[in-house]
Amino acid sequence: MYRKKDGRDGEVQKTDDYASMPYWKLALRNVKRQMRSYLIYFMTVAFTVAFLFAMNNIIYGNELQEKAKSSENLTSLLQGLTVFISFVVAFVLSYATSFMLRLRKREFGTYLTLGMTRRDILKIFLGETVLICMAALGAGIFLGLFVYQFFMAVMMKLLDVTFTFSAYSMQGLAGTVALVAGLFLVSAAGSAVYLKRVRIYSLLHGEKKVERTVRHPFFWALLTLLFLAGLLYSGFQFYEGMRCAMETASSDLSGVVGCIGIFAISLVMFHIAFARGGISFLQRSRRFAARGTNTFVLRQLSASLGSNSVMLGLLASLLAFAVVGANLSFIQKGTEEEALRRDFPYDILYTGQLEGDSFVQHGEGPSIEEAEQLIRKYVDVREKHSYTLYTDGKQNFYRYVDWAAGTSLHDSYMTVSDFNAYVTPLGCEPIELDHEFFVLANDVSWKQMDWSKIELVLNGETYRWTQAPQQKYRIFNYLLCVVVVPDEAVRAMTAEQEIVSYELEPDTFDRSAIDAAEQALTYQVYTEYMGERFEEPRCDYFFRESSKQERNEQIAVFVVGALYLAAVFLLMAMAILALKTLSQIGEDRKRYQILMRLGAGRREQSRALFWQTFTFFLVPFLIPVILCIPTALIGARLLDLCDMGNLTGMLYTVAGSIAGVMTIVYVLYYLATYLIAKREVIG
Amino acid sequence: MEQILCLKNVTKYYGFGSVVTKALDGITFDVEAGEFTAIMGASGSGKSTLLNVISTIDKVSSGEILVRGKLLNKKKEKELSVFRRDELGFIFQDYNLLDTLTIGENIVLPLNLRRSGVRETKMELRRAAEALGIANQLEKFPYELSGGQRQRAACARAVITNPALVLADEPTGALDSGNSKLLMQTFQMMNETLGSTILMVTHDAVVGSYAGRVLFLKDGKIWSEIYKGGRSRQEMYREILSVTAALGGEADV
Repeated sequence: MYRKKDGRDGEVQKTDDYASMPYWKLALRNVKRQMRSYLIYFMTVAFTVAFLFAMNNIIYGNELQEKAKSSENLTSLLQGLTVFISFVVAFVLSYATSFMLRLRKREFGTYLTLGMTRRDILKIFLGETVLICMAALGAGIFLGLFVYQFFMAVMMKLLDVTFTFSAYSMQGLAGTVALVAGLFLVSAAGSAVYLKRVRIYSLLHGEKKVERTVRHPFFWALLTLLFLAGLLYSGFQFYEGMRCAMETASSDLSGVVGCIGIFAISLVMFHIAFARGGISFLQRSRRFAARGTNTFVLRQLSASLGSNSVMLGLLASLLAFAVVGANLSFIQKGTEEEALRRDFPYDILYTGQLEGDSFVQHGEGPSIEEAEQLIRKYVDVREKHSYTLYTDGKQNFYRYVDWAAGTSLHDSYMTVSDFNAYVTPLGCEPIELDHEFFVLANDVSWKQMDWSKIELVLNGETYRWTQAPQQKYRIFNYLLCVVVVPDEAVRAMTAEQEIVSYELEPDTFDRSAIDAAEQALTYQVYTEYMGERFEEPRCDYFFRESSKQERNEQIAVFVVGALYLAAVFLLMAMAILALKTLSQIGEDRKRYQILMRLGAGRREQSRALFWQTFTFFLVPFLIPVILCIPTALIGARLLDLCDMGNLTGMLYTVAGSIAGVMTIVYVLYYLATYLIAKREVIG
Repeated sequence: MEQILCLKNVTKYYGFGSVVTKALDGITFDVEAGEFTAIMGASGSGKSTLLNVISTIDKVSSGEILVRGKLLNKKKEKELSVFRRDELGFIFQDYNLLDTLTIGENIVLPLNLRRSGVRETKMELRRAAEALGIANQLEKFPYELSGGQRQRAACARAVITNPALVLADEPTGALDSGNSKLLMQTFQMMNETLGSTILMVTHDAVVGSYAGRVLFLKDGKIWSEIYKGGRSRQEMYREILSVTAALGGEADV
């Protein structure tokens, strides 16, 4: 018996109770005591589970199938992404588990010296991680309920479908649990291997290892500058390559791909070199280093950055991937909307088959009159526009293009009246031409060409080139260019093609009716190639709504996939940084105690710990987050080239938002880490 | 002589309720400037606790501690940090050198914390390093030095700010007899040449014999006190042994 504080007698716990204590109870007790160490692990597993749960519900739920035409493709794309993510998560969780193991190796070493078997220790440790994983699984699934609704809301917004509450899928839940169980088994296997092989001496004395300083810091400092130059050079060359490819309509993007490769290598190497040599610049400044705890902080950083340089380089590339991917997905979304408005200024556009096309398809579609009847049968037409393309069978313009010169391709003309009739309802100013012509081109390379040297002679009259008006709507989809001339200039030409466009009544707009009209206008064609016959459906009418839906589905997957990847990469990177920081706490505690004894106050120690941990966190994060700026700038310049300069505002907003969200996650993880570290190190 | 340290009826309790240990029980003594004092006693006699309360790492339960006439008990955390930085020098059994810093950086750290100028720091570093015989080791890291060299570096760090009092906690505990002897000669040099006032805790009678005065603790009280006076070190050593034998005989001989 013993006397309690309140004076009552209590039962003395028998030692047999401890001897017979089941492992799960011991594990539970350890988890309670190690709560602070397990916090980052718990947060990471819970957030990861939330994202996996949300994605599995999208993949296995019925919502996407009901709302997307090509749901099978979307599902398989997301499945592929989840498999990839699972590998990344498996790696990080294994790392996190091994971190927890190493954090307590002294404790496990003591257990071994006291006669506990390695199997017993593994049981206890796995018991603890099972408890944490189960708690994190529960918390993650709860959080995932909201993340799923958020992803579905984004998806529905991108698919242009009204958002309604999305039902959860049992299969999604089961998939998540199975995935987490699989990930746990992988990390458990790693722990088992470690515990089986590690020597007791290493467990007891491993933490006394001295962090050696970086050798040849100036060599690494020089490399830092070299790879910084590599980053800037590859970024600039990437922009130039993209600009050239767009201006020359070149499909050879090997230079651009090369730049991306150089950028990725430079990014990793820059961080490795900076981690090993960057601090030496500051250490060189005696005046700076001699102030307060600066030397101490710089040395701490030099050691921790140097020994983790490769990891920091890889994390920086993960984060850069997350930043650029998220930015690109939103840029893509914005440009697709703009491209749709540009490519399909009207709801329905008819473009027949060109005479002289080298790849002729055989088959009989409905005539223009029959087609119009069919269209009016399904949808209400508000306005109809038609115009004619003419040709004189010559190559006044095509002869300036290497690949087209000498082929059967010939120039196409339209009258300025047709042009005005087409573009003025779209809000463009009507044009007047007086013995002038201008060239409407679809791609950048043709827009950049200098036509001023051409003097057109048509019907005995000479026409000089003039600058094309600024208008962003395409009035044809398949020609490189059309020459707009005064009406009298086409008198002697042959009418080559009738082009018709329809604008539908917005009030009676019905997507299923549009689908039905498109179906009715579709006919079978065949082509013969090398003696074989290939059949395929064809529709000469382009429906904006169909194209929009198709593009939206691709964009939805792209955006949600990029957000998913970015979020998981960010979480993983932050978790690794947090765990790395906390794994050094044991040594740091001793060092800060020495500082305290030498007269460094709590505030000074806190400041030193802040700069030490903050810089360690900041090194792999800074350049990726700054990447938002060049990504937005390059995107804006490229959009300008595509006549989408009006989207630059959106671009900067997106870049700013992505940087903001990433910074918030960074600050959250950093604060949690700093507060734990401060409590453990300074008290 | 200026009085550097003064303890008045210092008591320290550990624990609470019915499980209370009295680690220090009414300790009273002074240390004057330029004194080299050793504190000896059996394990659990309160030696380390005494050093901890003097160094402000631990707080007293009652009594007063004054350094250069200033009362430590009432000082706030920030003032205590400044006190440790400016008035105390520490030498520990396990050196307590920061393994990430070079020897030179370790030695000047107290001056950096004080934000001394670069020129003054350089001058003081040269003075301390030359006095302690480690001037050619300044660019090395602690793991590249022997135990004796490391402890001399710790000594240099302890005296670089010219503190009022150097506190040494079992400074020879991790050294072999040869290096212990060299370190004690260094302590004597610090005391006689640099004028440092030293308060040292030790188990070792040989080490204690280098001091000018030895305080013996037992159960948290000062049990006995001896002065070297004009006697030789051997005579002092013999007296320490006899007091230790009377005390219970736990000193290393």
